[in-house]
Amino acid sequence: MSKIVLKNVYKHFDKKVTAVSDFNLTVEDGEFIVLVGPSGCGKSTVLRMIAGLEEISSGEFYIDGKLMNDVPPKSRDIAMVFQNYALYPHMTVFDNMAFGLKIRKFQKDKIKKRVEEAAELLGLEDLLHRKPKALSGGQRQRVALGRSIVRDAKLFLMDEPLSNLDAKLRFQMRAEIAKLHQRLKTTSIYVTHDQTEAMTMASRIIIMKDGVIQQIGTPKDVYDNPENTFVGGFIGSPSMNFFDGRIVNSQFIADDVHINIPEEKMAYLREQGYAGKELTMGIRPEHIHLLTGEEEAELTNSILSKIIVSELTGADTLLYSMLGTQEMIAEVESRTNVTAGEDVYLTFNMDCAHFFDKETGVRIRPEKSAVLVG
Amino acid sequence: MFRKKLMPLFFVLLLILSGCAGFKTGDSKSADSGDKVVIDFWSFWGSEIRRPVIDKIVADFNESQDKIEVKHTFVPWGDIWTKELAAIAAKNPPDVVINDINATALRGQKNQAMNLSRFLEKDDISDRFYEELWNATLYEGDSYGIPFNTDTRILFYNKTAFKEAGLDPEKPPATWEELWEYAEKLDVKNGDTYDRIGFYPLWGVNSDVWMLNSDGKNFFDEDGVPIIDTEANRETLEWVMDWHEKYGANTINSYKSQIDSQQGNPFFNGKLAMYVNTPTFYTQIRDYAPDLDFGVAMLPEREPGSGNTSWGGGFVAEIPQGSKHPEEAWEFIKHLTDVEAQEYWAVKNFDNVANIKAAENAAKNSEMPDKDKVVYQMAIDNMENTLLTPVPVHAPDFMNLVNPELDSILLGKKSIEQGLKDAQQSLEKLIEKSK
Amino acid sequence: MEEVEMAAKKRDEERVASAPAYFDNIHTKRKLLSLINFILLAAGSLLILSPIWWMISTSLKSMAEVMTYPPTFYPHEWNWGNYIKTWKAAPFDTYAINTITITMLVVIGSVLVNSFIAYGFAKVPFKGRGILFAIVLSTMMIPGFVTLIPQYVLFSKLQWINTYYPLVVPAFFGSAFFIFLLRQFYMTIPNELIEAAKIEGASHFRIWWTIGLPLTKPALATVAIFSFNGAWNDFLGPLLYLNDENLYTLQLGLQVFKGEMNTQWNYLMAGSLLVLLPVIILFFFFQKYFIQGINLQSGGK
Repeated sequence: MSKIVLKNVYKHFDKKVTAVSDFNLTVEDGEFIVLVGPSGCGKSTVLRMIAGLEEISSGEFYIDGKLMNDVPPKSRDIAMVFQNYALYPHMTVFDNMAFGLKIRKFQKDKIKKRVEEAAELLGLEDLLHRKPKALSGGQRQRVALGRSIVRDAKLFLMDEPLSNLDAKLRFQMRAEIAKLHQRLKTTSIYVTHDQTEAMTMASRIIIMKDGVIQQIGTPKDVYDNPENTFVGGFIGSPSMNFFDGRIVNSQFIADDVHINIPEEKMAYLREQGYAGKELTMGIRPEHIHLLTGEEEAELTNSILSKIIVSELTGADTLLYSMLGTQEMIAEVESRTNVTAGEDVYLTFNMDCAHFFDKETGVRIRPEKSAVLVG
Repeated sequence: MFRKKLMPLFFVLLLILSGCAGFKTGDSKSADSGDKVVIDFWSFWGSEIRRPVIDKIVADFNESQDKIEVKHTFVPWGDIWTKELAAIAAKNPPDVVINDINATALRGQKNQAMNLSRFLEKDDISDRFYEELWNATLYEGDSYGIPFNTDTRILFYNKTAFKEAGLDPEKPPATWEELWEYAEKLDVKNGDTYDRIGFYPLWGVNSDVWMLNSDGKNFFDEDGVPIIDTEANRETLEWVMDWHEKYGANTINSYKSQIDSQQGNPFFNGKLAMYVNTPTFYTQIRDYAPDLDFGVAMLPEREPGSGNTSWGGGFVAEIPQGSKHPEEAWEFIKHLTDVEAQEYWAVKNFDNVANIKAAENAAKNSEMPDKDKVVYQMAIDNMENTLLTPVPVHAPDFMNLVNPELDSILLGKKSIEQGLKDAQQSLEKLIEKSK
Repeated sequence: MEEVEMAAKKRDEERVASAPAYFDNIHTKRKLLSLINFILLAAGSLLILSPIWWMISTSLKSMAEVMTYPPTFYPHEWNWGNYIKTWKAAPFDTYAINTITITMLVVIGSVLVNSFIAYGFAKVPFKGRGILFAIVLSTMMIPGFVTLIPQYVLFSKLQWINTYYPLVVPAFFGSAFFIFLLRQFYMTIPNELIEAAKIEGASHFRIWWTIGLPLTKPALATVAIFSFNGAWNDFLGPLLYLNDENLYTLQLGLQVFKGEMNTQWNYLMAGSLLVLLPVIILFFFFQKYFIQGINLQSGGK
């Protein structure tokens, strides 16, 4: 039962490089928080500060109301899974999993019971006497998880635990970790650079860039309402389309393409003084639709585009084309058979479009007073 | 954590070890001897021949009185002086050490050995010893070590070979010229190789011994002035080079390594007819070639009247600077160099001793077989001809400058004139610098 | 030496065996080549082994035979008794026990302490670590004879002369080379392993003991062998610090056969061989680590 609070946490390296700045986060008991961002964004540093492997340069870190800044890792009651599993190569699976319990002076039979329970949960019963060398990647990953869960720690930290696995295993383990969390309900913080992992596993996502939190929210929240162009671009695959343009007469004009803006959106854009100004429009590929009849094209916000590349991903097809001079990707149903070189009509679902300030990249919201969710 | 877990481990280890003799600290000397003063005596005499002799001499001393107990420790030859120096530096030296006689003055000058004048004022024992030896212990008129044993260089010759070559076995060569003539007759050549070599001067000794022999003069005169570039030395080296050419480098080198390493010697089985070495070499003939019929003689003269000068060395007993019991050490040194101990040493080891009376007694000692007596008497007689070459205090390492020049000459890289001239110059420079 | 040869030969044989049958002339050519190879290697080995043979042969000769000219290649009379005489010429039992005691302590000290220090330098971040490590390494540059006398004076002030402390205690304070060697090894252990253990609740001491030591076993074996060799063959240390002959080591004991005038070569060789034996046995069992250590020493990997 643990609640975690980070307040104005900074991390400086060598007094020059600031790896993390002003990090604020409250994690409620049982949450599964995913820290996501490109490499070097400071997400691992945050995790390591929580673990106690890195000192906190300034700010405060509490677990259940107790200040943890100067508490050594062993006294923080946390468990951690590392990217390369960090299994002790000279110990059997059993000993690997029992290591922490032995240090904490658990009784022998209790250790045995706990390890066996964890092994059963993870399907490792038959591997307990093997050395890590004799295990597959996925099995090692399970042992690493098992080692962490046997201790029944307050807080469960995972640092890119799946990045060393191949795609299929990753998919499988992702589900398993999610299932595990469902069962154990241990407060967890998970670091990844893979937005899919973040989206599928998190109860809340924290997107970071250059040591600064860009947005905190539920997966749906950050997907539907990205706080800025970075979040918009980072979350979701394929990436959100961004077009630079101007607003003239309720129309977004990029190069020579004119797109009507719904009045509801136009209202707050106008209100916030963006009429006639340059800004960036973002729209997800799935919100760009393919028109089949010419008459339809006449009716709505449609653009005639020459398809440069058509990529079949399965149920969907990605169509690469140009909006004026800017690249554009549309995600359409695969049964509409479009090939490269074809000229097609595309239309934007402008209700789902976002507008961002061109200078700051921040999304223009209906209410000006909106603040970051803390 | 370290303190909690490793330190006890460490202490337990130390505890176990403290039961072991090697881990008892403190002064081991005074631990077990009651009222007696224990003095430490270091020698390098550890072989199964020498060890019992020196131990007996020590035991005799310990029994002879009840105030002092000498503890004799064997320290390996050569390294004993490294150890002594370290101990002197740490101000914890032994009380008596056997050391090289030729460097005694140097150690006096460097304040490593104790000035013995204050003891000699009470007990003047200087007349016990050969004058040449005594003088070598002096630095600025004070003695820094008492001579213990000595050696000299004599000529061993194979009497059987002499007979075969038509030479009189009772008439060894008296001059360099005779040495050459004899060698010519003794040589047995077999194609390109020799079945017997008559003589080669640089086996057993180095060319500096022959330069000493040539005119009775060291590389330095009484005032410490280098006198290496002399007519006599030039002639000596010419003579040496003649020998060198006579036998050729191949023959010489094939024997040299064995002679140098003291493993095997062609003199033992008659492959070499004449050989210069110390009188103690006799013990090897006695032990390893008992049937060899040989004679001994003084080194030949360069020319009639130039003298049979030979070269010697030896060892002294000294009290290292910082000894805690110099009075007791002195008592022991007196015992060590007195007639009784010296005679015992001479007879048992067949070694030349520094005490004249003891040496003469030994030559007549009934324990000595006749053959031993002949060689020993020769050794004593030769002491008159024997010069020591004490290390000059201003140029202790002078041989490091001389040897390369001598090597160049022998290898034919430099002319004799040039080599000696260069040696002379570098010695002069060395003296100049250190003054 | 022989193992290398065997391995080479085996390799060649395998190559020959796997040669296609229809390439008959190449087959014989290879066989010939491997034969030449074998002969060359055998000749080289014999050349390298010849001093050992010389030692063995001398150790079995009588002194008179040692002194014969020209030297005999093998003893004409085999004096096996030389070995017994050698052992009895001085209290070699005592010397052996002394040497074993010192060596064991030095090995234990070297293995544990250097490993502990190296762990610190490799895995525990602290202020000034780099500078401190550079200082430790720089001690390797100081020639031994420079510190000889000051060290002697120091131990003398501690009243440690004529005890084993000067020979043993320094091993418990680490040696730059061993620290360097082990640190290099620790660097190859991922930090995550240490961090994982830290999070599991282990102290640095515990991590070093339960994870560091087992994982650096090969390097520790190298350290053990080198320190064994060093302590076993140490001459100068015992020479300087031991004054009591009851405390002497084998290396000092061997010196009784060397005198200012003549050396008892047969006994010296017999004694040397006896003293060398444990080192040779050790070498045969731990060849791999010997070579590893030498490679590290010469800067290879």
